[in-house]
Amino acid sequence: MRVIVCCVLWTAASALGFFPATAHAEGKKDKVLIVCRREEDSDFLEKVVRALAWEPAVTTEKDYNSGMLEQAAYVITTSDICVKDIEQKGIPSVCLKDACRLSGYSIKEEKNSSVGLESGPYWEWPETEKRIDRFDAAYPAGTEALILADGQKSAFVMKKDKISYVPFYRENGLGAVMTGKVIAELSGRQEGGHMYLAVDEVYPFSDLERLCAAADRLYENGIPFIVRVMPVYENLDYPAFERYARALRYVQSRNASVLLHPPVVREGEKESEPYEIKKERFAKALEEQGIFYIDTEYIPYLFTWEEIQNINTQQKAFGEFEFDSMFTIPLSLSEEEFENRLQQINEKWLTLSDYKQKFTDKNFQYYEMAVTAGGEDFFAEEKEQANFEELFDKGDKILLAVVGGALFIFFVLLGIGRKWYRRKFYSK
Amino acid sequence: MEFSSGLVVAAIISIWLLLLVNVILTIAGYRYYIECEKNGVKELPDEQLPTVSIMVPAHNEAKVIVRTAESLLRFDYPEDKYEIIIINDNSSDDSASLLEEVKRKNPGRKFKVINTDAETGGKGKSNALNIGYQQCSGEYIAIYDADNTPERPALRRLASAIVQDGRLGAVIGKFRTRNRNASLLTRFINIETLAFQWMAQAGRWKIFHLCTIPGTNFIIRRSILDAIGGWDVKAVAEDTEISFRIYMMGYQIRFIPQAVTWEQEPQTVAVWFRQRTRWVKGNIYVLIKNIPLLFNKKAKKVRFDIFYFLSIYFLLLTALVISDSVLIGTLVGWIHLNLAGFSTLLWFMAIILFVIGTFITLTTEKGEMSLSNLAIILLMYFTYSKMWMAVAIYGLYKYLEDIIFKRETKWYKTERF
Repeated sequence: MRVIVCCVLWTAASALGFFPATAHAEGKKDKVLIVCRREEDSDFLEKVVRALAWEPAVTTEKDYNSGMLEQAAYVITTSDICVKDIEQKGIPSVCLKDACRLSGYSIKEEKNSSVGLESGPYWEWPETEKRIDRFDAAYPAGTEALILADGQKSAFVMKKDKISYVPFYRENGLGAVMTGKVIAELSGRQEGGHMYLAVDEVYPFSDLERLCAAADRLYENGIPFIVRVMPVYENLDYPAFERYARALRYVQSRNASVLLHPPVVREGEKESEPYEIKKERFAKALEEQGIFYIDTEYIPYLFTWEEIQNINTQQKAFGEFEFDSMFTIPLSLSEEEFENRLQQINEKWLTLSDYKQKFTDKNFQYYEMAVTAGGEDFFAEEKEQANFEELFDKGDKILLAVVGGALFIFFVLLGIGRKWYRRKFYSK
Repeated sequence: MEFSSGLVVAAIISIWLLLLVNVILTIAGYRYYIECEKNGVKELPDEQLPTVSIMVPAHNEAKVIVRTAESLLRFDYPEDKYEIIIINDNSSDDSASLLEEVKRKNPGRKFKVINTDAETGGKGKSNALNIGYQQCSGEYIAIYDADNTPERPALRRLASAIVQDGRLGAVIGKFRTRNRNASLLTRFINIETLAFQWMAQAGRWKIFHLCTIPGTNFIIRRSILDAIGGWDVKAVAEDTEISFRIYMMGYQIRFIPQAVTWEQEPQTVAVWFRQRTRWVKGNIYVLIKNIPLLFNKKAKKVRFDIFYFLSIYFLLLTALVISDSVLIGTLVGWIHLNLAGFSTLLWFMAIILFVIGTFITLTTEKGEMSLSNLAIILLMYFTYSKMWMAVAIYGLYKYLEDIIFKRETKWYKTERF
């Protein structure tokens, strides 16, 4: 009987894109009390807090009472009205600007100063500020520092017990990053945030061809992205909405996350029906069209592209901020401008994350199908859990070890065989 | 979980288990090679050698029989201690006259030609061997195929080994491919035969003291044949069949790589396909006949062999057919398969394992350890291995056809070149 038994099957497996279903932000939201002099001062801080997936509660000096602290896990204040209370209650807090007056640190006031920022590997060119309050240069500057006009560094933050004091901060660029970092440290969190790219404010009457072309280019560059759609409440059965839905299905097949934009309510506008009902109608229309949208419950901190560009880093890869952030790429850019922007993004070595991965572990795969007019369309199916995943996973490891071991022995035998071969057949 | 996924998983597990068994056999086989190289074979002096009857069944072998007969006559073995019996079995060519001429040129030699006709012979190799066995007189019987050119020391080495060890029922030698450079197919066969002998034969001997008689270049005790009543005429794979009977008598079959014969292998795919189909059918017959041994307490030693060959002809074959069918079904959209898989690295390593494992067996032979052979092994993985699968499926089909239609199994003679 002479047989050779070495026929092994190749099993090919192909993987398509993964897509999530509608989802909501998850995780416990810690209540953060923001105390400001005026209500409009809180806007920036609210955005940072939301980007950390915390729930902000805002109050002004006028409305503040110490009882509010009972509900607060953390406090962020630009007013000194609550500083004694938080010291007394030992609540982890961040005191900003005027709230640092009672810190006990020596704070200097400077006018028309040129101030640069530095935070770990990041730095930002100096900008002239009309007025800054800063710590005396005698205090040691840590990794977060202000770079003064004479090149000296001044501490950006000083910490005493559970309270961090930041007498000067900017509400943009690296200033926002540094302030966000101080706030993030309230909970002692270690993990960094994610950065997302969004094509913002997409309407049914937007240039959908441009949207699809942009999606193609981003997909080709391996960039996951968000498409923030403006809510539409009426005419959801019109052909225009069908075209809109088809474009959204297409961008989803290019690894986009469809995110609902919060409604834009103009001042004095009278609501004919509650927003929730209108949103539900829009959401239902999207679902019927096979679009897996993500609600607006959680929004990363929005930077402008210019802000991101102005942040320099000493390392090649841009790295991560402490909170989730997002910047947008407008549809209004011409093709050439879009390509330039894409190149800038690539050159910046940003680590851009897939927004939908944060909300669901459901996977979808997209299939192309022919339609009677207007080219192709896509339909999505939830990707099934592959059978025997665990078995193959474990088996793979075991077999890799066994085959690796066998290969090692074979190579040893081959070495011995070569030696014997030469000795036996070619020695003189 | 779909049924198809379960089937494919079972198939993949079977394939991997068999691959791992072959890895172990390769390592054991190589250890035996080193052992043989170090110790050599102890050849007995003339006076201690036994009498041997060499039997050569031949059916229309005029193209090769003279060369075979002459090489048998040149054995380094006392002339008075061995006889050559050529069973010229119902040949219609000029084999008879050619053999008569050989006999005339070698007066005084024990050279016997038994010519049979359609009535007395022509019923296959087993029947021819039984005819020769009736007329032979040696204490031991050696068998050679009609296309063989054994090396001069082969018989002395086989006989010395079996005489010195009473536990051995038979001793087999090594066969090499005489026409290995004739075509790509013969190159494949050359590598296949070397790998098979060093992997399956030497490996099994080293671990289990089991070998399978290859049909040529072996010696067997006459007492065994007397006890079992000769060859099973229904078996077209008479070599495998007799191996099991030897095991059951409590004897071992040893592989002696120093006893070498050279044989001619098929040079065309059609001839190769017919020859291998016969082997497959024959082996399936033997396996089915011996399946009851799995439940026989006395057959403890041979269970591995039965499992091994059952797994090759049924388990591996079924596994490959299932996995290939499901793969094709998936590709054309008939079957929906949602199955996880092994990593590409593992598949890649498995190919390397196959190539290196086979190449190791080539380091044992002069001129075989070459880059061209390494490339041929890689090519074999994607071609020859698949051809074997086709043969195995066809052989099984033909076997079942013979059973269903109650056809008598015909012995197909391999064409010579």
